[in-house]
Amino acid sequence: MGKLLGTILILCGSAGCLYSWRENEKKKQAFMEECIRLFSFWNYAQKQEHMRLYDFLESYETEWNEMRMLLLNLKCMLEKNSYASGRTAWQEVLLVNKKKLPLRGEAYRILEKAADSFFGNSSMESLRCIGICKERMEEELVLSRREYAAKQKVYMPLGMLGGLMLVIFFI
Amino acid sequence: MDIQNYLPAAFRQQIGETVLQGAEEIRLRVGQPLEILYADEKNRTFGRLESGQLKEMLNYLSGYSVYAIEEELRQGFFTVEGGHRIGVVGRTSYQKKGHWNEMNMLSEISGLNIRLAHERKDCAMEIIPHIWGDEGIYHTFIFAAPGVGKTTYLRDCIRLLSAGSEKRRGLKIGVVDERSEIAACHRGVAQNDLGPRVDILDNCPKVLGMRMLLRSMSPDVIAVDELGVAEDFEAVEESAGSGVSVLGTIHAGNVEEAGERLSFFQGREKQFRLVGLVRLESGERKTVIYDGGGNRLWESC
Repeated sequence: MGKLLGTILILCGSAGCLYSWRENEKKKQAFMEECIRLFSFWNYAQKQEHMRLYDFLESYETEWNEMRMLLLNLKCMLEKNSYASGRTAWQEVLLVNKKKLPLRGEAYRILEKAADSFFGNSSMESLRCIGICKERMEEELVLSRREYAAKQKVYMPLGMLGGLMLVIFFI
Repeated sequence: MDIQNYLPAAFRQQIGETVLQGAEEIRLRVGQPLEILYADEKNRTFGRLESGQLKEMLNYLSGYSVYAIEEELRQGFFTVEGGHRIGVVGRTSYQKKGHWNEMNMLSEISGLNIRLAHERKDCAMEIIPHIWGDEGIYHTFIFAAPGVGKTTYLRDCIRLLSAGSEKRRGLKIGVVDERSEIAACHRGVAQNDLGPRVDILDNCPKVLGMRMLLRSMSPDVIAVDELGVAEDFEAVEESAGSGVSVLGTIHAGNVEEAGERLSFFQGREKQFRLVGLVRLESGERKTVIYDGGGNRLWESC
């Protein structure tokens, strides 16, 4: 009876680990898509509507609480007029929210570099930066999806086999 | 937002509300002390300004959206919340457009001049009864030397005429605000109170604006600031000929000088009034009202 219970627990654990990894990857990819959406909206707001940063930060609609909090925090920080440069405020707000954001590695660095798209010295500079960041994030998303598919092919059977092996080992 | 919150952080503690009381201008130049000019022609200086601090201030003034004020920067000034007007100088670049050189960009900003907005409500109250005629108001021109307060009086005249009173109906006033000094529009919203019946053409050349208002808004009065070149006076003549009263300001030291500028009104002296402003040593203003012939009609004590 104990062996059966142990077997079930180990198999569930393996499946749980795989599920959690898959969910994290999916969340990361969805957040990258959200970042691309942010860049597109910011590009439109700046180019077509000449929208000011404060208005954009406040009015940007998203289903992601993490993104909403990030932008609203940035707005609050800027409104205090205590940051000589907006780039510093952007880096600080990212650092504070780093753990809450599902981005890691290169994707996070792209978001970090997006400071210039918000705080460029001219509209030309900002628009150019938005374009670059959007492009890089799209490339990163493609890579991430490819990597996910490749890893999935290996992790799924490997995880289940590992679980089975543990079961056999315990038995 | 208070103007001191726009100043570089390093200066904010030194420059409090009391320091800014009575201030008319704040001048910032890279490598020079921050200078505050007061109405009584005194000035105070603080510290030394670095180029990074000027950038910092531009960030605050533009709400970290320098790109959004590029168009205004090309004209050399922009207006912030509260109606304060910020003049900007720096390195300019031009591009050829037909026969003209058009400013492309203003970069490497080296100086800012903040002209603090002053709304002195009811300062023009004593003028109003003298500019009302039987059929409406006379064409009225406020003249004074620079910095005496022509625009402040013009603004208050607009407000009082537009609001009307128990005895007189409020007038429809079209304002051509070429340099955003009368209404001080910030993102399309007038920061100064001009009363309820005012149509504002912000950032519009006077000649063009006066013609546009005449055609489109059927105003009782057209108000313009700083009439100077011949074309401005031609547009005034045109408006006056269309049955609209003109309310304007002129740079002039005395009534003769102002009269000369308005020579096209010859033979129609009864149709206009001149309002002279003089700053007394005490800092107060003396107002003198003349008829079109330059005869003194009334003066404040």
